[in-house]
Amino acid sequence: MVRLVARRTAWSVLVLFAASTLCFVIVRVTTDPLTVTRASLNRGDVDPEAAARLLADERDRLGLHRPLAAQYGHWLAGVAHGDWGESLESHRPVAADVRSRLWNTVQLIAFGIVLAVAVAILVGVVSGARQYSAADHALSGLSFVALSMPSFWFALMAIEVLIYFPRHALHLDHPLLYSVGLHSPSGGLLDYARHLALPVMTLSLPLVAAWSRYIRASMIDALSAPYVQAATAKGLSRRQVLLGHVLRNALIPFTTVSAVGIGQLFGGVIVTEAIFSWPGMGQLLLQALSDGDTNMLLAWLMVAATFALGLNLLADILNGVLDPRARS
Amino acid sequence: MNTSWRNWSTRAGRAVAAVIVSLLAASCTVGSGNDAERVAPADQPKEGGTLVLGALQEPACADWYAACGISSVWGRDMLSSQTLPRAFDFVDNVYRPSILLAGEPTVSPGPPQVVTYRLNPSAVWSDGTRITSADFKYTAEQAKLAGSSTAAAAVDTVDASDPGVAKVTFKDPTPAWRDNFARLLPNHLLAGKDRGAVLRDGYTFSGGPWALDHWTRGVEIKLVPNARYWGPKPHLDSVVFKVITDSSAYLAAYKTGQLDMAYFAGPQRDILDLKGLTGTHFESSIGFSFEVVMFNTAKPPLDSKAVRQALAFGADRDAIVLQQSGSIDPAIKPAQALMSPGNREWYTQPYRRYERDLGRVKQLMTDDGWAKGTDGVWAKAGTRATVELNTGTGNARREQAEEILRSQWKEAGFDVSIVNANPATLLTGKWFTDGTFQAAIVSLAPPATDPNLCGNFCSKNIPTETKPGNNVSRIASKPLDDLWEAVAKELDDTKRHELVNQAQQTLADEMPALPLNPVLDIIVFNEAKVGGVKTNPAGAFYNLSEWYCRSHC
Repeated sequence: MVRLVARRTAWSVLVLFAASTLCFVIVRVTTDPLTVTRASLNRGDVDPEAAARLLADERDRLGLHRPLAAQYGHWLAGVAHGDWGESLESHRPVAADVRSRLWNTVQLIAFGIVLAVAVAILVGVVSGARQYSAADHALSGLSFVALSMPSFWFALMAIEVLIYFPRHALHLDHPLLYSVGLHSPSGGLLDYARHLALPVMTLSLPLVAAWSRYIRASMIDALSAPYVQAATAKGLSRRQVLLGHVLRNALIPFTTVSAVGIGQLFGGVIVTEAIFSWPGMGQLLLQALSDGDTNMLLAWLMVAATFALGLNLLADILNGVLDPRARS
Repeated sequence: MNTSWRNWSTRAGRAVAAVIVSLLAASCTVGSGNDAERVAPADQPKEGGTLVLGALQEPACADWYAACGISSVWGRDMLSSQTLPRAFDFVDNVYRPSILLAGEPTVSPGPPQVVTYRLNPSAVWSDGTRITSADFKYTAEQAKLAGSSTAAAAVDTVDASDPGVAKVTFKDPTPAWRDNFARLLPNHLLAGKDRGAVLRDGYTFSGGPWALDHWTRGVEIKLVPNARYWGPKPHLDSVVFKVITDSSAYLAAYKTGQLDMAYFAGPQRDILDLKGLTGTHFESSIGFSFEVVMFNTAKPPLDSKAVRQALAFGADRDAIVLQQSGSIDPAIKPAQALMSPGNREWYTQPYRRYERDLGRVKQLMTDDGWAKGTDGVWAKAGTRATVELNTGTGNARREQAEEILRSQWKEAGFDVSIVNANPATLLTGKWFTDGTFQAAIVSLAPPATDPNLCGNFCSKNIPTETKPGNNVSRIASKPLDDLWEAVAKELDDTKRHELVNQAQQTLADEMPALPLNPVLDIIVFNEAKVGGVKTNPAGAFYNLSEWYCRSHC
């Protein structure tokens, strides 16, 4: 097991290094680091001499006169020491901005995963245990609808149905749920929950749809296994069989699948955060893209790569723990 | 199994009901308890309360003399205009001395030109320190270092020997001198310090009616009244600007009552939905920004003036503008100058001659040596008249204008393709810097009311790899250069009007850009809740201190 962990970790570090090279080259080829400075100087009444001087100063400050490989080496050394440079737009340390935004995104993802796992297991168990029943058909149909529904559309419909409609129909002073940001000026735990509800629902919906289908299939496989027949023959109740034997075994492959799925969530939060003005990593990416802030873009890509690789590593390790055959 | 399922579903049903009841309670009780006391007559400002306003953008920093903050319009409207004193107010299209000054400054035309500002002796910063000529001197130095404007660059010296009098001497005649000192900084707090580090994340000092309470990036900016402001105090206890960068989310936030007011520069998709909302005040006015098709005059076939003029005659600008903004303002017309009609003092109409006329297109193209091929597209020496039209991705309004133009120009015999890019790539990146684009729909947003367009159309401002510049059309015309240089230095108002008129006529003839629609500033607010709002092309929140809450705050 130790060898498996060491091997997978070393491989992940190598992939991360390759990803850093690729990200640096792609970002620097597609985006001019002087974009932000040019934007601020491209105003109608700017003094041309001062503008040329400021642009030259910025080029020197960023070390853009050096070869690309040297710039990459400098950036990588900084990253290795926890220095991500400063945002070309705000001139604040990139690491500080990433930290504060990452925490907001982690809250969203964590609640989204908890909700998705709970609902997916419930739906998967009901569907799997009652295969081809009306409930199974209904839940399967809903899963396919959820899978095929774009997140942004669902989010906008949810705002219309769960915020706009009740507020106007019931003449409420304030909306039941919120679609903007983390909290209201008044604050409080209930207020936080009311802000969190819709983004979490939007983020978890496709996960629920995909994972419930997976659990359903695993449940159906497990139900036909000999150990289930043996447990039933021993006189265990259906509930004991389902929860104690079938679900337990069905969840083993789901653990690794969900770990990989969570790793992909980082991309999914971009749309959710944009629609709900959630000040997280997704918003940071969109802002960096529109500003041409290369330092921030690089940091975002590296965090996303680390997140995905970390979750893949976890999936590999969990697979090894749960299935001894995978260790070899 | 069935019994346990029933028990479980009953418990779940009760839990859901409890959640709904608590949400309804929270939605009803907050703010409604004392409505009867708080409702004020429509015309009588009420003191107190908090309004939540929407902000589609936030500044990258609060250092208004650094690259990160200097060009942020939202930063100006939400923060600097509210917290920093300025020499002049722009109200009803006229510059008036602000409450900071003891009267109209005296101007000695010179040479050298000298402007003397006499300061209001009761003007103080929020720490009680008097606002003095030293603040003028410090601000002028910072503005000059930042290259903030040609008017700032023209300042030679600021005599601060008398704290109550700032005597500003200019190197060159500067008719736009009123644009200086729009964001005065406190010398006693900033001199000798790293200005960027002090101001970057906001500042607690204030010399305006409001002070910054907090700024949580990506979330909100909260302002509270400046207790030491020497002018009329704000009516509200606080104002919160919620940062919502997605326009659909912004609309939804207003629609669902999470914002008390929303402001848009230009019509957005679905904005008309807001017009029908009960209690919503919906108002639009023409701002200083306007949209243009910018032609790259260095790129064939647009290096030919005749081709550019033919494209102007091939476009039905009335149809485009009506399609874009007619639902908001049916009376809106295309801008007929490279200036917004909102800039009433200087607006003229030299582009009026460019009505859609396919006969003129034919005449111009034929005279320039073009002939129509079998495919109906103009061609000259084996080269077809192809035009690639660009704009920044994600701007539905401009994308719609592109489609209309493509159809109109195709009918006029041009082969038009549309290629859009990330705004950072197009507007400030390689396309404009290297001059690789052909034609692009962009917005021109003058930073001030001054009519001088040298920044956009003088040959010295053509951008290069090492020198930024805003003349992206790359028009290089000696007569234009001379006219704009004269406009920049002419102090006599009548003569300056004549020069501006000539320069605009020359632009219409050279056709480096085709003006489309003036950008509508749209303001919507809940009129049962918000009072005191007035529109002004100089900024949506210019009289924020006069706003008040009518109820439910």
